[in-house]
Amino acid sequence: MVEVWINGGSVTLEDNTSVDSLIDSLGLSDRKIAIEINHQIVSRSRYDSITLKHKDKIEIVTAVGGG
Amino acid sequence: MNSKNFTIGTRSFTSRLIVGTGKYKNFSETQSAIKNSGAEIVTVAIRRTNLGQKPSEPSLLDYIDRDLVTLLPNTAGCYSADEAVRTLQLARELLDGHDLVKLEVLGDPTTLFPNVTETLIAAERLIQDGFQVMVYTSDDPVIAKRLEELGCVAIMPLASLIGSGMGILNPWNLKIIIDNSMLPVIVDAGVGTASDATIAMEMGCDAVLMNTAIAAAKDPIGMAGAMRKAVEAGREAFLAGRMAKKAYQASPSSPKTGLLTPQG
Repeated sequence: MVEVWINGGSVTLEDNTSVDSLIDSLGLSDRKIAIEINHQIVSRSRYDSITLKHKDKIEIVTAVGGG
Repeated sequence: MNSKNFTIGTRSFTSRLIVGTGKYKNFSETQSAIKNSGAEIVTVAIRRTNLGQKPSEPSLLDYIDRDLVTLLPNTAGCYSADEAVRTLQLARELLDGHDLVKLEVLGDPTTLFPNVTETLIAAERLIQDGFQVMVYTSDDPVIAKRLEELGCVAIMPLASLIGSGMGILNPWNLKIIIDNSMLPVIVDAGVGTASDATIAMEMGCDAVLMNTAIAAAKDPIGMAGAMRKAVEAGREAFLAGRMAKKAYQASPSSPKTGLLTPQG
């Protein structure tokens, strides 16, 4: 098991969880999102090849109303 | 130059009203207000996704037709160049490589006045990274010129504080910025009602950006239509050229001759 931070909150994941399966488990597969891991943007094409490591800091963002 | 069109960076637009998407009752109201405003550029903010959200819950982007409007991701809430650059790099990833952005770096949480030194740093880094930067700034003509020299694509001075609805508090500074700028000048922040938008356009602004003036009106969809007309009227008046002001000499609109009682 690995412990990661997602949007500021602690989450425990199975070992070798890919970004793709994380997004799936969060119900975000059909959402327009962008992802950063440890301050590095991860492009969509790499979601299935990157696995999450212990203490990774993950940010998942989207567009919201603003001026 | 075609008076109907104006250009920001590599994109051309017809509508000179840019609207925000914050503070609406729901996405449906946001969508109707955008439609009634006629805006072709719509701002959005970038925030952490709500992780508790159900997959079926609507999201803002479902209500915006990107074939009809250009999204303008902003950096609202950023207080440093680092945060602003990071936010817009995420926005570019989120929006499939979209490069037209609104940079704002704030300096004070009460007034939301821009931090112009951080804004300059962020603008330079974003431009080097290939972004087309529309930049929110104070109404300081020297800073506006500096942002132009850095390679921004539009200068967006405040008329008054964000969300204040106080209108154009320093028309003289705004006029200096307009007169000296080779770039589109867009009043961003402070418009309260239709006449404020008209005044900005009559002064020669290229466009007006607003959010709260529409979203916080009693009838936002109605106000969106009023703002569309206000911006159009102001632009047409600017192009038509107003009459000279005559402070001490009245001039009758009707003939002075042929009066029933000739004046001696």
